[in-house]
Amino acid sequence: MIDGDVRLDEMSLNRWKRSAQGVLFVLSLVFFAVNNQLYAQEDTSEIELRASCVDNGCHTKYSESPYVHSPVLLKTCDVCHKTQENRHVFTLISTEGDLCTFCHKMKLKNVVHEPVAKGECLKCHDPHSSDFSYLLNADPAKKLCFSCHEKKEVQLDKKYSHAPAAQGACILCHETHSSFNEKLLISQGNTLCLFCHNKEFEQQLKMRHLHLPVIQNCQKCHEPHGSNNPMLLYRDEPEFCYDCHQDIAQIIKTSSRVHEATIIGKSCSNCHAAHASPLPRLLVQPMFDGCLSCHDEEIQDPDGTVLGNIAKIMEENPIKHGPIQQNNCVACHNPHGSNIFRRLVSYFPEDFYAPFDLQEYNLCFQCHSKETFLEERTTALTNFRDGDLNLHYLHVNKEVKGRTCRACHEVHASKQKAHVRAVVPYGNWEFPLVFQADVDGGTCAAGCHDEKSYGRTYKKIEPLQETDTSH
Amino acid sequence: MGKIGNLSVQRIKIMSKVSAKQKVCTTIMGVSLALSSIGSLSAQPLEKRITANFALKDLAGKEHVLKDVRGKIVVLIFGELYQQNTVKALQDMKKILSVKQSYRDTVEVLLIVSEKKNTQDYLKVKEGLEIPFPILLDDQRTVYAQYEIIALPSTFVIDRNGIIVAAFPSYTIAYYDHMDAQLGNLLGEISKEELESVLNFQGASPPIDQTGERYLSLAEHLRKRGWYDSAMNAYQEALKNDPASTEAYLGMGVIYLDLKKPDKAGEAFQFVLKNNPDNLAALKGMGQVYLSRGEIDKAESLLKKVIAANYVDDDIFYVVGELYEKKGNHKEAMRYYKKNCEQLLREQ
Repeated sequence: MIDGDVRLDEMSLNRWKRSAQGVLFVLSLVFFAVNNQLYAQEDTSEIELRASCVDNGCHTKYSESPYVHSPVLLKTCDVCHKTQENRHVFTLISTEGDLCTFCHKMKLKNVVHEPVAKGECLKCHDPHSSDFSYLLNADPAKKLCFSCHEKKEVQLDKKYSHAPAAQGACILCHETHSSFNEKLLISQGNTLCLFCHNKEFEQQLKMRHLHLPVIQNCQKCHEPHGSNNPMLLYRDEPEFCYDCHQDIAQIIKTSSRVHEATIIGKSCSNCHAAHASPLPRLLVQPMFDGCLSCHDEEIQDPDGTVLGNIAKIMEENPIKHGPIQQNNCVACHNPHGSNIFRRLVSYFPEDFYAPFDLQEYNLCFQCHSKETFLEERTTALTNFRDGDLNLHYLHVNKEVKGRTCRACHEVHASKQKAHVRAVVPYGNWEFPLVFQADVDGGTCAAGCHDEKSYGRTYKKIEPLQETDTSH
Repeated sequence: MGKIGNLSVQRIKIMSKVSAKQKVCTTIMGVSLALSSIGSLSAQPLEKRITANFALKDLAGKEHVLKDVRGKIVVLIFGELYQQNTVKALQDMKKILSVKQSYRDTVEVLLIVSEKKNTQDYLKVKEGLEIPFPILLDDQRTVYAQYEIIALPSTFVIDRNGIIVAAFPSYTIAYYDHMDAQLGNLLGEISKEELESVLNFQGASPPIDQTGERYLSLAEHLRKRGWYDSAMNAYQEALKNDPASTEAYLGMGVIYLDLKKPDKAGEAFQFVLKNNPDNLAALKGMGQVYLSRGEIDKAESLLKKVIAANYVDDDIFYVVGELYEKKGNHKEAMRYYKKNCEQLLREQ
């Protein structure tokens, strides 16, 4: 704190000094004229203003305060006061507003504080002296404003409060007399908030991805005074986020398989940054790391399905599926929810067998060409072919008992090339699948059939006949 | 970014033994490709390989030869227009090019489709989606084989020398960022380190306690608005978090100067100078302190040092003007006062 400061507006001080010389002269004449007679009748009869109003034990307290109005300091009380019939009764020489603005000229902006507009300067200022700068009636950083504005009126009866508002330091955000901005704010949009929060947002504002309200107006999400929700949010997550992100809300509210991460803990903030991120979708960490922060152990779904420990699968299997290499779990899984098993974004056969239907493989065809499964003969669509016989077509494209992708391929990672499984799941059984690739093709020994070889080198062959159709 | 696969001469030989219809073109392709990719037997990733040339016709029948655009940055997108991810990739590319003129002038984007479709169908979809890039037809999938396409879309960024610098299999939510960064790096707009930070962002650093910083911001804000008592309180709070905060002492010094308390201001500035004798703001503050005490020579020595270092703040020119006025050098004083006015006008 600055102690004992006498803060004077230098310009008004000079002005007062000049006028005071004249006034003092007149006052001194009056003083000599009426002399002791008035002293004797100070509180009863005739009196005139004089230099000694603040001396001699009468109004001395005015000059003892740290901040003193310059007319008081100069003992020129009649600048503002006059007596009535020379008695110890004083009135102002003008109305309150006019009196102050006679000296304190104000250029008001378009939004004006009500007391200023009404000329009620004394609602905030003491005309004589004060313990606070600008002769305020109370500490402007603590409780001055609360003398008129009730705490409830400004949401300060809520569970969480914005520190400046709670302390009554309204001057941090609001102008005291007038402003160009609504609610007498000293600035507009997030510029206002950044007056104090600039350091913490300095780095964030340079990030590639900014939440739109961050570059528009913080008040789109945050209450400026008080709220019952953490971070002074208007409503708590996730409902609050849904107000704008209705498409996501729809998924979460209507999906039969909701991703639990969207509704537990910090809900949306479990995965997304509220303000900014170097990552798309405002992710708080690279997608794969984020997903593994939960999926590093087996998790039981509400429907009883046990979801595998993906971290362990990754550790044990060196050959990763493309989306995993690319940190892109959402290529296949909807991070919010889905009506398809494993929260897949599109259809994918759940079982070992499925009648071939393009729609059923939509998930895979997001990236892989569907032509691979439609052309029986090819030399360009796939390397899994014997000569030009397309072995993908042979396995998958069947009206009955078509082998689905998962019959042969791992979806996340594998030890064998081309994501070929080490074991084939069949009911509760698991058949080993030994796949050996060579330069021209490969060999596959699975529970499904005897060891079979294929080679891409062109040779005229008959279409393969399945040797084992027992399952 | 990932490795799309390995291309082998062997496979090209195999390809050349396909149906009679494909035989001729594939053989030509095979030879050229074999020559271009001899080194690839050693499992070299597609990135960093020199691209094989190709010639494909667009929907209007105009032939596009890859080597003809050598000298430009080329983005090849292999995909199908019926496929959502391909369309997303194209829209992202369109957006990237629309943002920066430098990209539009130097980047050539080519979409290569392989599905045997009626040209009119392609044209209809192209127009519907407002795709500004040429669409090349590779219905024999020869170029697809060349670039070992197994995922759609697959995007290749090729530098001005015809070297593949990046391969993006499929579409990810980071496609825009990664492509933008790759192109920015090739055009010299961002450094390799910046590119790397976009491609392999490792996560944000843990949050740090910013209470002190917040109080400092608050104090500065209050000081500039003239609420000196409250500003002083905020500086004191900031000092609780960082007792040696240069900013806090400088701010307090400025307030004391304004309150005509040069001794206290001097203490604040000296504290800063004790830790950092070259702090220009503190040197300027001390200059003002000496000026207010009438110690003109001391003030001049410090303020000249500050001016020589090109230090600029709200009122440095005014202070130097004051110095010269007190020295009786009205010409120089006027020069600095004018500079101060010009600065104020510029700020407004």
